[in-house]
Amino acid sequence: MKKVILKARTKINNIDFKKLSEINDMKLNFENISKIKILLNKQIIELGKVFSIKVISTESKRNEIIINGCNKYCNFLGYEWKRDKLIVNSDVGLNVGARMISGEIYVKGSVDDFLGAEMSGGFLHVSENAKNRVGSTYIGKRQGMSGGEIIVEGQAGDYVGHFMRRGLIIINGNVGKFCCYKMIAGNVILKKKFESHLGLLMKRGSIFLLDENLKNFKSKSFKPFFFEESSFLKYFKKYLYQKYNIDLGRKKFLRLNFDRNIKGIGEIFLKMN
Amino acid sequence: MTKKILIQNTFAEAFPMKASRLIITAYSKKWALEAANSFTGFATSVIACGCEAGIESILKKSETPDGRPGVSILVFSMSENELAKQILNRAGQCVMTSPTSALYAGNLGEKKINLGNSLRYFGDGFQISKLIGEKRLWRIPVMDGEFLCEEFAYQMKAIGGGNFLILGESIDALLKVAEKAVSEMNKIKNIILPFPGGIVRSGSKVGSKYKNLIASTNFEYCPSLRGLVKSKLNQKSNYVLEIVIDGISEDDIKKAMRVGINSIVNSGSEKINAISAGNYGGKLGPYLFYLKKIML
Repeated sequence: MKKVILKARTKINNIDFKKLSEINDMKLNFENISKIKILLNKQIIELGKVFSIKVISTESKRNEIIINGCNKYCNFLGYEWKRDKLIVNSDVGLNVGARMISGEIYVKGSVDDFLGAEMSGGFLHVSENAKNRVGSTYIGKRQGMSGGEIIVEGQAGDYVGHFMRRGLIIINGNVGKFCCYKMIAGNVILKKKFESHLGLLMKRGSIFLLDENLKNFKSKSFKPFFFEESSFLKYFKKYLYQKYNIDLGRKKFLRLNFDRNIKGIGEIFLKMN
Repeated sequence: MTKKILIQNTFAEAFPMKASRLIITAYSKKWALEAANSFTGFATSVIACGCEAGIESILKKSETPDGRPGVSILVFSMSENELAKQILNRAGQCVMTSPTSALYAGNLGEKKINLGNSLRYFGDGFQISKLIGEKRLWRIPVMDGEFLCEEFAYQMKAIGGGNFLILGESIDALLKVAEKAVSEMNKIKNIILPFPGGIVRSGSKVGSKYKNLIASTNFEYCPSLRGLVKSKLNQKSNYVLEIVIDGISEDDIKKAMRVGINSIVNSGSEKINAISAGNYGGKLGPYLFYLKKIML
């Protein structure tokens, strides 16, 4: 397999990397890669003119693309990404991993809105913060993330998992408002606090809260009860521990059904302290 | 001085089957075993049970998908449809009903067998589907919480009917060595011994004088018929017991036969005369397990 290292030649602004994902289907050599079209300041330009390109053969099982020198104005990195591994060594902009199909994307920095929006598979990891609409749908559409897994090590903004249908989102920091708004299914783990309106209008799906208090729930439309000895929780705990070394602990979970205002049978698991 | 037990120059004849491995977990080993025993009950022979099933191994917590005590079972049948039918019925009636149980596929394969995909309807609309990694699970609400069940089990190729016969002078000695052999063979993965306690006394031949019967008693090895039919038993062999082995591959069955026969031979029991095997002249199946070759 090949390792491709891209490095911005100069400071770059307003780049649309949508077409970079053609790299997933092409023979990886300097010529092919340098001809990939990107949108720089609304003008179509060849990748080779903006980035230096190095192609190395490796024994890795999948191709690895490493991008250096991006910034928060670089959008659509990993759009419809498949199979390969993408590593971005900087902050990036909007739509990272949007509509991703498979493969892996690692961002060593923060990302803007629409991280993993409408993705259907693969793995996304952000080492710092993500802004709004992680794993959500695009505005005006009704199906968010439908597969794959997202981990944000820092905080996330509003509308995490909006219309989420399948998959897993793990946010290690706080999240903003309307997290899991209109969620259809899937799993979301919030390790810290949420701002407000969690699980509003959710139909199904599971939200795990590891550091929250029952008093923070203002809605009276649910009846909490203890959820013990659940084989599902045990299965899920083992999966998370084996795959991500995340330990949900041995403490009990309180389960709340959401959102009963629309007869939803989603569930919020509240870890008891 | 211990007696040398004769291994006859014959072969066991086995045939291709379809199989699936399932993993049952529960709150405790006791309840995992209760569910597994219920599932594998009345599954000694495809002649009238629809499938042959047995416990393959007891799993440690670290070996099960949900970290609870578990049991791995193997189910064998002659056809894809019958295997699917038996697994679904038994999963619904024997595992879902058993307290704290959960049910998972224990192997992968191209051909799927409905598990949670069908059992979910018991949830009457309150069932919840969960896609965790690559696997879809169904959470079906039941009175002790939830029955967690993987969406599909998977079919794999297998072999049924590996066997050997133990010929002896006393039932006491015969049972003793057979039980020891079963105990040793049960330590092997990828095989089951489907009969009660792993031992069968009513070995069968194909067909019968009665046209509706597909199998009937293997008269050549019935001591009470010596003198009436052409018997394969000498005057000293008053009792015969058989150990039948179903396995995933030829090697698994050979290994189990070798371990079982070794256990008997090494017992050196004075009352055991010979080890033989059941075959139908090569007419039943393509797998022939020659006892002497296996023991080399």
